Amino acid sequence: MSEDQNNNTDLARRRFMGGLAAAAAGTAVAPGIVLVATAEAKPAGQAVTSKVRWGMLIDTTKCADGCDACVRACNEENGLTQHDDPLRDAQWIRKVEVKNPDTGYSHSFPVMCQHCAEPPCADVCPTGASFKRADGIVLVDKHICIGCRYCMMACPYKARSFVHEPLHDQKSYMPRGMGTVESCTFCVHRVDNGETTACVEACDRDGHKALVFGDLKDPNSEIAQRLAAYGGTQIRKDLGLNPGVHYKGI
Amino acid sequence: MVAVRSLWRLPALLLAAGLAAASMVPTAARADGVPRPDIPKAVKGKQCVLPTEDMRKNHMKYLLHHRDLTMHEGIRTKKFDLRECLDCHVPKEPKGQEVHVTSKKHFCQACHAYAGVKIDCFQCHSDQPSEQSPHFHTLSGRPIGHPGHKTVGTKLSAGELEAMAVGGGVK
Repeated sequence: MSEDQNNNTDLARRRFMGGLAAAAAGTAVAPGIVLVATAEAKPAGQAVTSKVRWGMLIDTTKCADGCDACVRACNEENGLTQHDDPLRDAQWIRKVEVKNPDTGYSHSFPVMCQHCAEPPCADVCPTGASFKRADGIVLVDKHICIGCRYCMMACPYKARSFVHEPLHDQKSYMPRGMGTVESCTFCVHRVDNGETTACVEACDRDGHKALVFGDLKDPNSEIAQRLAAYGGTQIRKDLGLNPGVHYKGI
Repeated sequence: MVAVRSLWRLPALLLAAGLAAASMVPTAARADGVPRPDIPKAVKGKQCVLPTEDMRKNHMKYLLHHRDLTMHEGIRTKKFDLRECLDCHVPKEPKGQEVHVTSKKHFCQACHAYAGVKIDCFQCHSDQPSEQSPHFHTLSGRPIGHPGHKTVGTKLSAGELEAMAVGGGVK
């Protein structure tokens, strides 16, 4: 057997094994329902590291007009609709409709905290309450937030909300309180447990699959592979903030 | 002179008023006559994560330290998790009948009212035992419970799990 043939055999074997691995990663339990193994959760006692950068890819060509499943899921997950009044409730994610007046082409997509690599909210925060975690998630430490709302003014994405009124019956995993600023946390309580975000789960459940959440630094993650293959846009890329949320189709 | 004399009486009056207020607090007086707060018994578990005397004196330090680790480094061990305190010390009641921290029947408030120390944890944190996240389901193989309770794919027996829960959880 020549060396060439040997190599071909190896390649074929490798492809076959790769196919097996792919089959194992997504296991069909019933028609239409597929269990997909998510990233392994880090041990609870281990600190997050900068080896991971969490990000999201939003495919606006798949995002349906009039669908607000992600918004509802976020509100429910984080207990945001206490007043049941959009004028008073906090808003962590919103659907934006855009239309090209020349062609009439319109589409909609969700906008939330873009989890910038260089977050201006954290730059301007006078107390250090706004900060970026090592794994790229931008958060507000409400223990030290004084409610000055400087971060809300600094954010070019209008992603943050201020809690004006006393709250009660908060979710045990999502503390929220009057006098503090808050925004999308990438469902940090779920991510630390190896789960995906509530909005992604809702979008998948409704069959749109417009949202992909994952590790931008892992070349094998779905989000990194899709960004590498098809590219993506960051909103206001010119600001140089390097958001973790990427859009396709805008 | 009269005014000065009445000023001297003020502390005594205040003390008397304080004692009267203290006697109105429902307390379990011991044989020595010293009033004690009525501390509700833990709902589950036999032993706290550290000796009770240590927890009474230092729980705020442990909680403060853990809160910073969780918030900034994503460390979510159960041992000093505030939710774990509430899970053991506050009974799960049907909607509308929960014991809130505004009541002295709430575990935290029972002592804090007695000691005259304001708690600000519950301005933001829930004062109730933890609930499940609405989208958590058993289809994914994860147990129902709050995200901190991670026992996925465990091969441990119920007894071993119990020991881990008492000993401070998965490290």
